[in-house]
Amino acid sequence: MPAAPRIVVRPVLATLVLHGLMLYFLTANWAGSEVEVTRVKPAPRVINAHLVDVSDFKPKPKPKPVAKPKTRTKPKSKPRPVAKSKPKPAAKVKPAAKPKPVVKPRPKAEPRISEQELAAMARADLSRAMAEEEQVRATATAEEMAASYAALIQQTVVNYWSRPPSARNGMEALLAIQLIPTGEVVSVTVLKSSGNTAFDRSAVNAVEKAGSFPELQSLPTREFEKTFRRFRLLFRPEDLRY
Amino acid sequence: MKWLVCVVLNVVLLLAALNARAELTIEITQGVDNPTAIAVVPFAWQGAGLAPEDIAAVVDGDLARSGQFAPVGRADMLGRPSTAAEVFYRDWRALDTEYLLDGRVSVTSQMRIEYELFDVLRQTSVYSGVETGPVNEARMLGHRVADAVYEKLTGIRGAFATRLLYISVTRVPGGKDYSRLTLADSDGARPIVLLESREPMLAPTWSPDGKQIAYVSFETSPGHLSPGSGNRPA
Repeated sequence: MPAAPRIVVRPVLATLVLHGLMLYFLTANWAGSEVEVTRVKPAPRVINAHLVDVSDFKPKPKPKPVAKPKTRTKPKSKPRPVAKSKPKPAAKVKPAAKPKPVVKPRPKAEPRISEQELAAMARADLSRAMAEEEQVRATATAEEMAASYAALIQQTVVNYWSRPPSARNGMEALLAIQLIPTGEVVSVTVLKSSGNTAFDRSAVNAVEKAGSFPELQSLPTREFEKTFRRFRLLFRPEDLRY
Repeated sequence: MKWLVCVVLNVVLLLAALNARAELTIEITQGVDNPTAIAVVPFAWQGAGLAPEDIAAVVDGDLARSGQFAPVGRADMLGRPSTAAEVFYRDWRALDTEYLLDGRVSVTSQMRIEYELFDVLRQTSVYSGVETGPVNEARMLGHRVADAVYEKLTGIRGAFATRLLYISVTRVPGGKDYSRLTLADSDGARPIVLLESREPMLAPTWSPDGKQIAYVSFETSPGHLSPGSGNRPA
């Protein structure tokens, strides 16, 4: 607050103006609906794909038919713990990488590579590749993550939405949804009606029928609070006959 | 002028706070249009003896035939409420029912059907209404209930409480065919044969006010338009 000068009028005016502005902004904000940025998803199909290079498992040398199942079973047990959590791969890479230098001197002495060594090499390569990928995934922006969860919510609601026969293309109903961190829907309110009560009801029912989005539990708390604690759903059919 | 700086700073900060509160909007442009699950509980009969007509069955049949609804089978119902107090939403939610219709039927001089439609998901009453009419028009009253429910839930006027006019022909090998002009409820129940003839009849239709009918007759001369009379409730 400004230091009070000798005249009393100015600070009083300043406080009045300030409080007025504060009140205005607060109320305008809570009433909502004007300055909000909306992100719109026309139907993003987000696919989570992981690339596993199979050539790593069976490199050039000619392992006898006996060798094949061995190399195969080993990597199989490997990727599982890696896929589970991020911190693990970092720890795993080291033990896998270690045997490499230990075993390496041998091939120089013998031109033929032993089966175990081959498997170890393949394993090391694989875990390195996976660790890299893991890192890339971790650094993926929070926005991308939010977008993929938004797509998930969208897909779920689409699967539950059955439109009444009076619904027409271009009708719009805007709903406000409130979630709790378990992914459960705690409130659904119609912000902007389409003018057709049957249509509005079908939209609300679609969300109510979905009931909860348990996948959101895996979302970091910060991200959840920021984006999914409360969000909006705009129902605007485009695939109807009329 | 220090205060002015303060004011400006505050305004800027407030604006920044406003921008930070952007909300995610997800757009839904598609849907799967499955029929809506609705449970039509048998209406409670409040009178002596047996109910003259199973009104709920009429409503159930109408809604199912519209293709917009998938009524829940009576054998699956976990309760048969007839008033709002008797409705346990959890039971109906377990059946994946979206709406529930119950009602009471009583007869004094006229038949009176009170019914109430509930939204199972939101656990509220959506609509309630009363239909009254003569006892022998019980089916028509049932159709009217179906109309009201249909309009409430789909936004389109129902056409169950209407009548159907049709001609059926019985082939007679080696002789002249039998034609019958028939009037029935919209679901084909209660057919009344208005006219039977060995001459062919064609294209029955209603007059604009619904009080008369016309059809093409071959009785006096080929292709003669003949007015008859019928009546169709509004």
